[in-house]
Amino acid sequence: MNRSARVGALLIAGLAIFLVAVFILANSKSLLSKTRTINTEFYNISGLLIGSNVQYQGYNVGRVERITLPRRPGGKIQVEMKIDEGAAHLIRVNTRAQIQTDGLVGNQIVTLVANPVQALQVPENGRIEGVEPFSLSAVTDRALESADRLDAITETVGLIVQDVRNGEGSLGRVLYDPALYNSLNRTTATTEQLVSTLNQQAVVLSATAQRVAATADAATQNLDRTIQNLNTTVGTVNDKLNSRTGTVGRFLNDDAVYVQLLSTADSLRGLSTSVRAVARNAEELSAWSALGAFRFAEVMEAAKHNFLFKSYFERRGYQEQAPFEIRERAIRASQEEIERRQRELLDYEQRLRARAAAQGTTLDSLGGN
Amino acid sequence: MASKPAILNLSAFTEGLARVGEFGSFVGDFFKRFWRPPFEWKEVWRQMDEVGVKSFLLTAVTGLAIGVVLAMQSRGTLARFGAEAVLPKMLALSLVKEIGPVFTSLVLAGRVGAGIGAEIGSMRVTEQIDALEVGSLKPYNYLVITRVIACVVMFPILTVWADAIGLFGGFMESYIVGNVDYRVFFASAFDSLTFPDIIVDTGKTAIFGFIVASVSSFLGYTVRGGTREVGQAAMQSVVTSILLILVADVIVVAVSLALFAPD
Amino acid sequence: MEAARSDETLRPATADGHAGPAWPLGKPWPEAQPLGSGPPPDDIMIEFRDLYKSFGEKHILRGVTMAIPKGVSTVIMGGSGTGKSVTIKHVVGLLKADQGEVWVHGENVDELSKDGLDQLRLKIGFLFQSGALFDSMTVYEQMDFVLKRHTDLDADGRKDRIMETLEWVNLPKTTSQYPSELSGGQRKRIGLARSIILQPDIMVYDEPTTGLDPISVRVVSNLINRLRDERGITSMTITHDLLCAEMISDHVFYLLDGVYAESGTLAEVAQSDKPEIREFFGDEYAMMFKTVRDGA
Repeated sequence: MNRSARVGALLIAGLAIFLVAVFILANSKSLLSKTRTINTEFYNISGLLIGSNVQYQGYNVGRVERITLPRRPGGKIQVEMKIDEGAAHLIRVNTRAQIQTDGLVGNQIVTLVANPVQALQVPENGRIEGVEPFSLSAVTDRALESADRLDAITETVGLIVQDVRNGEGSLGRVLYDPALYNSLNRTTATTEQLVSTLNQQAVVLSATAQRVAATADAATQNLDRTIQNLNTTVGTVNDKLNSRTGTVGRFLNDDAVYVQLLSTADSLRGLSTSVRAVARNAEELSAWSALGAFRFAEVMEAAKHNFLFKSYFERRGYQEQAPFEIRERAIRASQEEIERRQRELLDYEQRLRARAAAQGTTLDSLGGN
Repeated sequence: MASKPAILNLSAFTEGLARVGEFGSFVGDFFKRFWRPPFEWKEVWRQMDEVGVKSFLLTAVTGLAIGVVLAMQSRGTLARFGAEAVLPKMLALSLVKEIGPVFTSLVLAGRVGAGIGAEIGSMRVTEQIDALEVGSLKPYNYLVITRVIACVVMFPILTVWADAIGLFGGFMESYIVGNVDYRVFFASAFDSLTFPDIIVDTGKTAIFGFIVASVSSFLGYTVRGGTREVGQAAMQSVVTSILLILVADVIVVAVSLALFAPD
Repeated sequence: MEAARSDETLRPATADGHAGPAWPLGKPWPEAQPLGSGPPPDDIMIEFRDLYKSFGEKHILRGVTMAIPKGVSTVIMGGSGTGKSVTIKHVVGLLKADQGEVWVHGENVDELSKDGLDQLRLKIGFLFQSGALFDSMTVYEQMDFVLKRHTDLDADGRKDRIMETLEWVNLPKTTSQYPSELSGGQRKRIGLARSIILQPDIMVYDEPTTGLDPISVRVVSNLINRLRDERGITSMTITHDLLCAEMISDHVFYLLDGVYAESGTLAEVAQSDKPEIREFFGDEYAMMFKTVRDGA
């Protein structure tokens, strides 16, 4: 290759690499693609910067373009974001913007939280509501309170089911006893109240990991007991129904019993939905706790490897596994447990419904006789 | 011949100051004569070949080695904190912002600086520069301006290459050790970069190129004596270039941080 | 200075004997004009007027005054470090005088603008001690480089001129060779070819034969003579080489202690009474000249 060709090749290829890099960069920074400007506002932006990522459900969809201070003290800080046109259709007027910490490095990002309820798209230069970065201590207490209430409710359910199973000796008494219906209704109402309370604080997280974990564990155990009881009850009812002996036929011919049974099933279904919501919130709660624990773990891990602290940790026997690591695992375990229980509850509900439907058919045929 | 500037009554310090002054006017000459003919394009091209093509292998190997070693060394530390995922970002940032440009420039200062110092120095002592002068052939334009242009153009180009090859080396390491997909690696790598990173930090090597070419040319151009002095000029070219590159880097980084606040 | 010797011929008695210089035989050697008296007469090509030059504490030239007429081949001799090279570098403006005037081609070198100096330099050929060939170019390229820069010739015209010049120094086959591939004598001849390719009026030779074998010395010396005889070139030559000096000198200046201690034909200078000069030439050499002159 002669000199000109050599130099030319090097120059052109070098420039090409540079341009490709610039192009990729421009693309990834959404400088070349079409964007939509969307505004939001916060009282506190927690150190958000111009250029910070904007994520939709964890996917990068844009950047913070401008941050404007309020005109007077106490006003909200305006945050202008550029959202990729490709993702703009997902941003609805009921979408919420929230400031979160991203990953290990701790950059502040804006997270857009979707709301499944249908709403209009946000137009160019439109505005969505900003959810304030919560204050940890304020939230922790409320979360624990809710957890305690969940505990209490499951206990109530447990007692009721206990009563049902005992049934004072007779299934008919049980089924006709308005107390059960009322009790179930009450339970449902209480749970729904709890769920709504929790929902209000759904985004609210973090917490002293230990307490949450302990409470969640207790709650799980109670739930477990409750479900066992319910299972037994259902089993008894089924047995009684299937045996078709004694007074069962009468029960089955009675419309009131049928209606009652259905409404009970509905209540139970409602309860199960609520419990599921509770579980979801608990899951979220534990995820944030895990993040907190992870951060703490990181610091502790670093400290453990620092020669200054090393001997201290060794003395304390902490070198192998720190308490927070154990706690973290416990939280994860209880979370899985809650999910499992939830699945069981769902399963039970379906079985109950199926049974009720089957019996309904039988009822009709019986009524014809 | 007694053309040695024996300024015996001046201290080494004032002599050093005088050299700095001489260098100043030498560089000043560049900006004065750059605009005027003769334009030695053919020689510029030849110097680009000399500085660019013939240093390519050197910078490529440097880049590759840095990329691989940086990845290997960082992996252990990052893995301890479970943060191996940030390896591409860390690699891209350190390569593109600092290690790539500065390492490439330092390596080139060694090769090109010594080459220019020795070549121009020996042209001085063998009277070739006088011959150009007497032939009205404007040795400054022919020897100095061409080399400065070649270095100013080629340093950034070679830096881009070194960065790219270094990043590729880092990717190879990640691929072999962690079986990281190339899309994940490069998406993550580019995610950490910003425009000032890629433009300012690559562009600053043009300044380093200017430093290497002008310092080495100056030291070669002002050689007095024989082969021993030529050797010294070559050595001083490298040492002075490297020192000035490091100083200039501090200044450029300080200024660029002031201008483009990082996010 | 004893510049004028009206009673002597200016022609040295050399074995070769060459055609007469432009400065007629028998005409007295010209005196330099005093400082500040403007340009010298037209037939004086180079004139130094009371030239002083020092480097730091070292005073190299201390009042050099001399005139060199058109078409004459002048040789400057002297011990090492006496300022011979310093003197001739003033002719092409490579050095600037501390005091005094240097007139070349009717122009005061130190007062010329950059462009003026460049123009003047084109009329002067300068053969450096080492030949000063450009290492990075082939023989052809360096000659072409000069022609391209300073003439309007097209590629064919330049080629003709280069080949003609190379043939004149009898090295037409070296066109594609690099300086490192040439012998010392060839380098000098290529250097000579390069310095005359622009057809200058004045040639300055800095030790043109140093380090060459006697055959090469004769070849180069003959080329120098041919330039004077065929083209009427005025020349200044620094040499230690008595053979070369014998062959080319019309007039010799001997430099001692920063001034010209002796001026005249080679024979005259060689027979100087000054002990330093006697030491330079050696008694036998002076005797030889004495014999030659007495014989003639």
